[in-house]
Amino acid sequence: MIRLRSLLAKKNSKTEIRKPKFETSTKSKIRNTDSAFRISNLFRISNFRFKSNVWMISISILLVIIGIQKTPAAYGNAPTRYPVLAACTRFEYGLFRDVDFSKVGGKDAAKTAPGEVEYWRNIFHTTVSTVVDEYFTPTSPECSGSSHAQAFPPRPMLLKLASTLPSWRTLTWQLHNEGTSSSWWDIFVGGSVDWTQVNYNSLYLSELDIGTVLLEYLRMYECALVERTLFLPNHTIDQETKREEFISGNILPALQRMLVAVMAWTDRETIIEELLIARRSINRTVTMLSGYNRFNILNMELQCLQQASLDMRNGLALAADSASCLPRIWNAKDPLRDYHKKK
Amino acid sequence: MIIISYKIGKTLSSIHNRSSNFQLSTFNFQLWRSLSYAILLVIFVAPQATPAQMYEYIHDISRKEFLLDKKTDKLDKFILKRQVFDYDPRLKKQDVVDAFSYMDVDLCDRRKEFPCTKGEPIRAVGRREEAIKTLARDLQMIVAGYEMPITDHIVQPMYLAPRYASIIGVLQSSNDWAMTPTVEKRPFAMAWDDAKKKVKKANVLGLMGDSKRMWSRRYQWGVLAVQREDPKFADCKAWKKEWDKRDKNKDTELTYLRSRNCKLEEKLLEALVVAKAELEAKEDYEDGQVVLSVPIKISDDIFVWIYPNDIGTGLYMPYKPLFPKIVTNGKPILGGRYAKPPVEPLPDDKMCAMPFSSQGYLCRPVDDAYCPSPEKEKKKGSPPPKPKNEIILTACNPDHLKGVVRATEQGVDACEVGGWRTNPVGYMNDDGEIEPPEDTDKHDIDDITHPYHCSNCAVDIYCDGEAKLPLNDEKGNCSKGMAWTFPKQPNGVIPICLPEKGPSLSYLLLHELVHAQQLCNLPPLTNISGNKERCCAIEVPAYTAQCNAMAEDGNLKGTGITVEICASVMSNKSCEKFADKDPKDKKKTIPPCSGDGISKDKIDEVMKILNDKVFDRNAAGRPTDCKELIKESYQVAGASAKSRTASQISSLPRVCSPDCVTEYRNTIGNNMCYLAQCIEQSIEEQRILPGRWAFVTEGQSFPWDAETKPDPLIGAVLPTPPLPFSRLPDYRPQRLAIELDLALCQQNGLPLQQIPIECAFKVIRQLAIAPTDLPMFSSSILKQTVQESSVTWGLQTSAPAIGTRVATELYKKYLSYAGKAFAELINNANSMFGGIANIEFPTLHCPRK
Repeated sequence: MIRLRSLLAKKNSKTEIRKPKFETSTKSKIRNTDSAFRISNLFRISNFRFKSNVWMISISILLVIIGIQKTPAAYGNAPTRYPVLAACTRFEYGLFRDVDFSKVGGKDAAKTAPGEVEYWRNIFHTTVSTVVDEYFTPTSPECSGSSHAQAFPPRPMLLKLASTLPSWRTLTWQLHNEGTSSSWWDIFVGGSVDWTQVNYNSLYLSELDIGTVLLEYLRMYECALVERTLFLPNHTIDQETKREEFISGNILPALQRMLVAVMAWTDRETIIEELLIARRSINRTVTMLSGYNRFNILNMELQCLQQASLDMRNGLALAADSASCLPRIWNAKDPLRDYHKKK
Repeated sequence: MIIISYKIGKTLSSIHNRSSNFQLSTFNFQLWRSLSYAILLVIFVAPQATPAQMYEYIHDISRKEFLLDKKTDKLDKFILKRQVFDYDPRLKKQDVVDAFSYMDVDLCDRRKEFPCTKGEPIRAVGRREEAIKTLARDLQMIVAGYEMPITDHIVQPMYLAPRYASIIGVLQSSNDWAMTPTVEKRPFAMAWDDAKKKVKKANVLGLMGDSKRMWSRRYQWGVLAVQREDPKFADCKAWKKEWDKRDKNKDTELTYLRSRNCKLEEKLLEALVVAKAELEAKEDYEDGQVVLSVPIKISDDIFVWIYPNDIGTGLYMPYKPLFPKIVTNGKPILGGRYAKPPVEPLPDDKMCAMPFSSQGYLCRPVDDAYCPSPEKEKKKGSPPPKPKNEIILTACNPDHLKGVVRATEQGVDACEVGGWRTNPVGYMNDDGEIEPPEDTDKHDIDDITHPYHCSNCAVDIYCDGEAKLPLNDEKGNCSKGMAWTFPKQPNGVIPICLPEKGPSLSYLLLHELVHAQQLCNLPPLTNISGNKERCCAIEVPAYTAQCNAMAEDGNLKGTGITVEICASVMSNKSCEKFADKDPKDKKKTIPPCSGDGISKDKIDEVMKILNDKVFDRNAAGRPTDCKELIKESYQVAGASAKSRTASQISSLPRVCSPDCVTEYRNTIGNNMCYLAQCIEQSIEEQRILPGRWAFVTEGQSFPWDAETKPDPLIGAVLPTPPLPFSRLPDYRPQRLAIELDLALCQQNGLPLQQIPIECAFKVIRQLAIAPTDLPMFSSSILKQTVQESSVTWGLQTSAPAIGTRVATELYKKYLSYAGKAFAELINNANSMFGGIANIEFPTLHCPRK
């Protein structure tokens, strides 16, 4: 059923795309406006043409408006709307952030808290694991959905992860115009929001996109790791300075700066290991999921068919029940077989 | 898979065979080990479900691959053997742990006699073993991903086959088994309450000891399937005795495939006995049904399943492979000789004995010899023409039986043939209860004297030689050991004669009862087989039901005969006396029911197979004695039909007459049957135009009948949908192989060629390149294999992509047809329901004219 609907949707979308191509070229806009102008002059000459001219003007204006609105649909996404190809850096999206030692549970906890690299590693693998486990938890499809995104709506963990990634973030900020914001909060408090930056991709996210989401998450993770290696000593010193500031309120002593080098070395080992392991793990996961994913659609069809069949069966059972009266219904037409009501 | 392993093994050997203490042929070792994994993989891949920290496992194996988890992964037992590392002094476990943890300094600190470089050769062996283990784990993961959803058991998160069966159960009418030439087993839901208690009490998990995954896989196709492996030692204790007697040296890495757990077998079989008794006690259970039940969960990973014919275990998530032993009898297995492969199961055993897997590509016999050629692709530029003898998914279109439809004067009788009802049949006693007729093996002319209650007929089944009345020329007895249905007698009784004994007696009765169903509502002594068309029209449904039942019971297995072919051949043979002579060859005749659809030679050939192999077979153990069969064929009041013949007899009475009780299972098909028969009965038996009784004898009751015009709305209210055209696309493994070959050409940067060997990387080309200096030359020679292996790797990675694409294409094609048919069905159902809801019943009687 979903297949049929998506086919229909495809057909519709095709026609939608074709229209703007025909209507939105600059020339056609000019032609439409010119003809509207000429027609309005003619209006004074002939009353007979008045009604038709009004219609034509209205249609022309409508076509121009539709044309303007449909331009992005005809030419693909406007370049400023979807900065999906995100830069390979962790500083634009805040996905792999600095560790805030004030939140790890007191000063003693901060002393032993893992560094940023270790923290990222834990958070990355834990997140992936949660998303994968969630994926294998049985769920009921939305049989009335008209697309895969509706039939397989993303579950909370996947949606949460995707919404942190550039491709599915509702608002992207790296291209926002000056004086505008990308924060949802600003929408509520009446701030200026750059609506051209709104990304609707999250609306089309479905459970079947798990592989794409995981690979994008991996890309961001690898970017963070590689970026860390480029400035490893500095970043490690920054990290330990923040830790020291929180623990003692002092700056990092010179001797400890020397020890940070050891820490950086360990981090480097972790990064190399992660660059080796993370991609292989995700590839294996995605390979495993790909076979399963393919059957997921079929499973959904069957589940929906099963539900529809049960409804049909019950409906038909009622119909059959009514049908048992058919001979008597015909008999009722015969006036000589007018049975008396039983009292 | 094996080829891939072989190639990887070859590459690895080139890397590792320089390690100093590696004694035997690495090449053979690798190949052999890979082969073992592949065998285990193929045998032990079972579907399953439920999340179980899958990613943690994947992450863990990725670390193991590079020896990053600082654990020995159970390889220390292998590495510590003298045959692997003949060091003096001997290695200890801690040495292996240190080497695997890259702590060479610790190793040489602790073991002063070893240089610090000793860690590297240990790691080299470890890496090599891990590489093979990783390959096995990867392959298992891939296979598990694809096969988990196509499980035979109802295990979450996905189970396609049982769900499909349950949909069939909801849609199908109970007499589809007789009319549809596709053997779809009917499902029956079962909770196994008693058996479940027995399994829980048996402590199956405890009996599995430390090898839970191993035993779960060993019994994944059932305990009885394991017992059938070696019929001489089906009994586990006898097998154990023999096993212990055997030479220990024969114990190989594939031991897991042969070992048995006697206590576990015993307990599971005890539960199976309880389950069978439980099933027999179920009144609704009909023969030939697939029993669907949710498996019994005994741990987070393991479950126990029960089917009527076997009991076994399974894993919810079989993504972890079971590794072969690498140390047996205290010795490491270094390769050099192949282990005896596992015994090949019979074609219908193990996986092919499971209810749904048995219908898959691997198990279902290929009927291509009898199938018409598949429809041609309409689009230009689509796949190359199909070669012969390919596997075809499409069901055979019964071209040779087209146009053979039996119709009465009022049209086709809906659900007339087959058995879709379960109500008791017989005569009503004084208490208003239906008592079954006293039908014995004799000709009961004194007991069965008139039609059953609510029916237009009764049947009197008796054994050969018991006829009491001369019926036509046959004297009331069967001729030549065949069953016979005589015309409906003036008293409404249809006599049926059966041979006294015979392996396929139940199928003969089934055939004759179809004729009884055809005769039931007709006037007595009607001859329904007067000419060629009539003969074919009555015989084809009867033989279709007979052949369907034989196929469902497994009697056609191994013969290559399909239900349609069986029905076609037998009905042609049966109506042979009406056959026209062949104008081209006067000595030959044209098959009466099929025309050119099937040749006379083919009919003779198939008849020979049927006579030699099928008619003497009774795979499902149906009654072979006439007396026993007659007893089984009558429905006991209050219980559902237990046999096909009982449900056939139950379907003889009319459904819609007042005071007639009709019982059937609530399915879409059965409800449709009821609806259709009610409508048909109404139209055929009731007046749909008002009339009156005549005042005088010669007066007309319905004087305006002659004036009645045909109803212009007939057919317009609910247009009959066209026969749903649903075609499963062809499965073309050869095309897949060709695509893969083409990919090979592309990856080598060569034009596409049909013979892929020409596209393979030419290893000698490095020799042809003039080297600038000697070191360059040597490195170029070394790189030959690297180049080849990179292409191989590329091919490996592209193979799943090609497979996925093809599979998606298959799915797309199928749905484009099936989706339309289903949409039509839903639309019709919708308009029908809408129509019923909108019916306005008259409040006044029709006025007299």
